[in-house]
Amino acid sequence: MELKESYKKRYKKLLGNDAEKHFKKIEEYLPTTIRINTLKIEREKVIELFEKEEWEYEESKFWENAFKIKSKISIGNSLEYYLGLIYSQTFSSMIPPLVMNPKEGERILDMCASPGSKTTEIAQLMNNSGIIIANDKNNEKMKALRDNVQRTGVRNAILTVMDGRKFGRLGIKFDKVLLDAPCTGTGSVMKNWKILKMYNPLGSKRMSNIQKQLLASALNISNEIVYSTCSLEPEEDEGVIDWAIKKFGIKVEKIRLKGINFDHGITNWEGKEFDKEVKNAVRIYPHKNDGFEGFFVARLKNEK
Amino acid sequence: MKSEEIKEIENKIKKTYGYEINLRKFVVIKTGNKERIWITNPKIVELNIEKLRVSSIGLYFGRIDRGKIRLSIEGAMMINPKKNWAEIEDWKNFTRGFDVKCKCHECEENQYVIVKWKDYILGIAKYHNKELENIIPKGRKIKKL
Repeated sequence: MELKESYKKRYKKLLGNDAEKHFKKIEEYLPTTIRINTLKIEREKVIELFEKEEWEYEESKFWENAFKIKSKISIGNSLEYYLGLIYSQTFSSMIPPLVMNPKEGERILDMCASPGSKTTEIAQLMNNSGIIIANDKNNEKMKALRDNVQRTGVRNAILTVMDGRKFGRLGIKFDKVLLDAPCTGTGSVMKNWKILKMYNPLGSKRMSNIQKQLLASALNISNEIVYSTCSLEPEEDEGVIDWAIKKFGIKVEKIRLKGINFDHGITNWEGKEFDKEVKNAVRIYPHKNDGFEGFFVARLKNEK
Repeated sequence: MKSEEIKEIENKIKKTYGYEINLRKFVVIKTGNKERIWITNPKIVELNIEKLRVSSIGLYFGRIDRGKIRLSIEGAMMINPKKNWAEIEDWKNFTRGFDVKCKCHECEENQYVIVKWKDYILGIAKYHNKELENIIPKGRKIKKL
């Protein structure tokens, strides 16, 4: 498919010499990737099952529970999926909960939770302890969230249907908040090519207003926030973080990710200088990591 | 739920499956006309949930159906049955929603029995006439193989 000129122009500006590699890579299909759900089974037992069923798999370099499945298998129709032993999830989507690093017994808010990939991963990292509020604004998306929470055996989640912007006014405090913000999705084009058909740089500017409101709400209820999007548009990523630094005086913490070739946040875009702190955020590009979609992640510390 | 009500569910499980489960380590909640039973962590009591628009809490464990315990798949996975359980030879037809033949272990007629394939608990089914009547929820069935 022919890429829109406006997209090409913008990504040449963003990626420089790497732009052509990026354009080529996003034409590929994203490989099938899964997470082993250790809430239900030990990792080694799932590997035994893969081997018995002659699934061709590859362990990821960044997390022991993340695997690429190379065989042509419909994961959703497998016994492993039926039993909730594995969860079909992109590698990039597994990163924000790992960056959050939730601890057993903590109280966590997943502000925009549906369909529940990150909620169920957080529950796994907490070993089903503590409490997760898994929220989504859209009631129609709750079924998918509920089904996934059930299938994976998550006991510690309360599912709520609220506008995330309202949490800041409720007076409930959380140890950590994940804000995987609604976005234009320009990082997920390998999963959904239609995103590029509808590509319009103005969409990011509109979206960033909602993202800022959600982030302001999150900063009101927790001192530790992980902000992520599946968009590579600077207005939705560094632009939002820069706004929060200037408005709330937050800090952006360094992120350590083993086995992933990531870029740091950019500090200027279309003539606008961002605070140097945004460099601590992480950009993940498909052309630099096989099996990953485009993603942005920042860990924020609210010290006030 | 009150401790006595939870104890009653534990007794039903013991009577039906010969397995002693400790549900009192969880917060157990009953909802709706169908008396659905959900389990979650005690940590929930520290949270003022009245301020939230709650859709559901915790894991759906099962419900009481005409005096019998009808477990969810995840509820069944928490039980190690000594009776009222059935072994099947092939997981494929069962997970696609078909009724299947089984080898039963002390199964009572018309009882909700726990279904196993090898070491895996696949859920529950209604036992009649040496056959398992499939009651896997529609959304959970495997569509095609």
